[in-house]
Amino acid sequence: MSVDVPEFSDLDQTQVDSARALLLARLTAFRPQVDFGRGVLGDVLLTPAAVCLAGVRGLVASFQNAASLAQILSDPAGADDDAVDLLVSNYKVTRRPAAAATGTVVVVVDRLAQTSVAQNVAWQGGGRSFLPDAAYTARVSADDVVTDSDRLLSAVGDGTYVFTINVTDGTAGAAGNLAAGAALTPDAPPANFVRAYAAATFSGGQDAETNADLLARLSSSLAARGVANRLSLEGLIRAQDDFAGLLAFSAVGYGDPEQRRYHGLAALFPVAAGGRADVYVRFSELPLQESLAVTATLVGVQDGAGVWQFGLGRDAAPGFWDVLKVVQSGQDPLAVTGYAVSSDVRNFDLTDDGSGFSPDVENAVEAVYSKYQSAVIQFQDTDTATGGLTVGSSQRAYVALVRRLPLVKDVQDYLNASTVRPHAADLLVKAPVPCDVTCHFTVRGGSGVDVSAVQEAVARAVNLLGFRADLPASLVSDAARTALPSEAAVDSVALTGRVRAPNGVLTHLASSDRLVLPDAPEAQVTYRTTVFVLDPSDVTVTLA
Amino acid sequence: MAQDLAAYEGRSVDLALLQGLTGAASGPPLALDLAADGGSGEAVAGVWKFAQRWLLRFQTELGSKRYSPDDGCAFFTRSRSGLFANDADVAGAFGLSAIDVARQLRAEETDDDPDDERYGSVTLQGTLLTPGVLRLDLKFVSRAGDSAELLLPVPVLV
Repeated sequence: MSVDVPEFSDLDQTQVDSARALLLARLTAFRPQVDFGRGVLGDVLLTPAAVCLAGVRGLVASFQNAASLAQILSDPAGADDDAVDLLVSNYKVTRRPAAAATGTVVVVVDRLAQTSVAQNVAWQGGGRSFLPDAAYTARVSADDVVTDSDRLLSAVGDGTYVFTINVTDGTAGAAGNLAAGAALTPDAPPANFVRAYAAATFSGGQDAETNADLLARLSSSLAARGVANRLSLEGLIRAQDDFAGLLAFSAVGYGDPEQRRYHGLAALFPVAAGGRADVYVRFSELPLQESLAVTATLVGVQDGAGVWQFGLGRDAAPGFWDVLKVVQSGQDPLAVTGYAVSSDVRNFDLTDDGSGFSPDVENAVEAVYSKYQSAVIQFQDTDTATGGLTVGSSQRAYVALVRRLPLVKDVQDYLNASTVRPHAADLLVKAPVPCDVTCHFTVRGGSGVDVSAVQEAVARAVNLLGFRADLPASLVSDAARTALPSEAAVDSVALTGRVRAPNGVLTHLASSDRLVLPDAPEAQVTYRTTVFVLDPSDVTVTLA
Repeated sequence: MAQDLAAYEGRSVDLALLQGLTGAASGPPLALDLAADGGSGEAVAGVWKFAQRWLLRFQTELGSKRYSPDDGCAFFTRSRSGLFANDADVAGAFGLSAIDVARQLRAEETDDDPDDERYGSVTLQGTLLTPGVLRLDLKFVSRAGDSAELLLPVPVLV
């Protein structure tokens, strides 16, 4: 969109009258002996000239508004994109372009036979069209897996076989970030095709940054980019191309009760004495759900079922929130119930990552949701017979469905670099403490309600809240209304929340008015450390 | 009648739009021409300036000007619609439109305007209705009492 003279038919009458009055005054002063206000000059020449002048004035006003930060901030959607780009470029800020999502697709076939997937055949899912990154061939034998585009067929155990392909969205945009488990359908199914689904949450898809988004990060970009304070630290992180998609940022340090890493000084100073800051970053609205292949060891038998245990090293899923479930190897963790986690013990690993630096972490709770956390997970497999197995040594392959936010490790690595990290403090990067939300409400009146659009709108509004102490029901109502017919009404909003504190304690919230986060700084759970997370599938809409 | 600007020193003038102003009621029909063969760019003042104002507004169809929707009258709209079957039709339409035009002209005049340029009266002295063309014999009288007469051709749908 470029700034141009507006259509003459779109001008306001007062604009034309004002322009006419100006021209008349100026022309009369210029040539008093000519009657510009009436007759030929007034009716035939002056009025058209006034229309032109009003149009030009509108153009000038658009340019002035486009170049005025105050004007743009008052109406970001109405500002010209090109003019905003020029303005923010003065502050070394560049609009993020749209990007296409990428992900891995699990293809299920019903025969153990070599199967080909053409690169030019699209896969449809979530209303989007994805293309394979290569022409893939699923091989029967591992000996035949030679090239990067060869895949090995794996038996699921129910007579079907699976292999994976990598795909890229044909259109840039955040809508391409399909949820883990989302179904995909090929335009031309390969031989023996049964079904296909997203192995994990697709990522990388982003919409072109709107003027409002761009201006929202301008304030942090205007700040000096350094580690001296919250604003400059946020600006430093946002300035990096890889972290330009930062959605929410918070930091707790000197004087903040949430900062618990004041080692050895607690007896003297009941609050953080400086030198350490915990940085909370959120780069995606929804967490990634990743399927991790793990090897579990039988550690016991309880009520006839084996208790299995596996470890998640710090690099397996950096900063992960929790393990949602464990399923048998080869199974789709999103299609089967699986086994619930019975024990989740966190630990920490400060092994040098090559930067020569590690933050001052003394216990596991301090490291939770950071890249330094590790974990030991136990679950009970009620399907595998334990006869003939040995406790302590028998092992078995499983798949763990892990939930985490992206880029926690990447930001930590960046801030660990010798050229970036502060001389007088350490920065520990964490994923925010999650408050998983569900909501239900009733929609009355209106026809043709698009429930999925309502769910998406509500989830998006909640996920983009950032760090704040409460989630009001009115926000849910307002967000729902943006996707509803004008005559529809929203009522009976019910909200629930579940906070998973770093120490593993779950706190349950419920309200029909507003969810209020606990104020428990000693547990590192406050509005400065915790974010609301809402999956669209957890938005329940009742049509009345 | 249109003359050079020097003839109107001390007066405010308008650009002469109407070609064929002879001052005679039996003269050739007027033509609307800002740039005419044989001469243009002349100025008018006095009763002819008033007459020109009236004619411009009379020949503007009401609502046809995007940002001056109240300018004009319905006379030419009716003439193009084939509603003039006889002289009585013409006289009736003229009477109604003349009221509208008079109101508009008076609204844009001030006490500082010379009386010979201000609205006094406009009279339809006669009509000649022929297939395709209607001729109006008009007499203009300014507030100062100066008069001018002319024939105005009006296209009509027969």
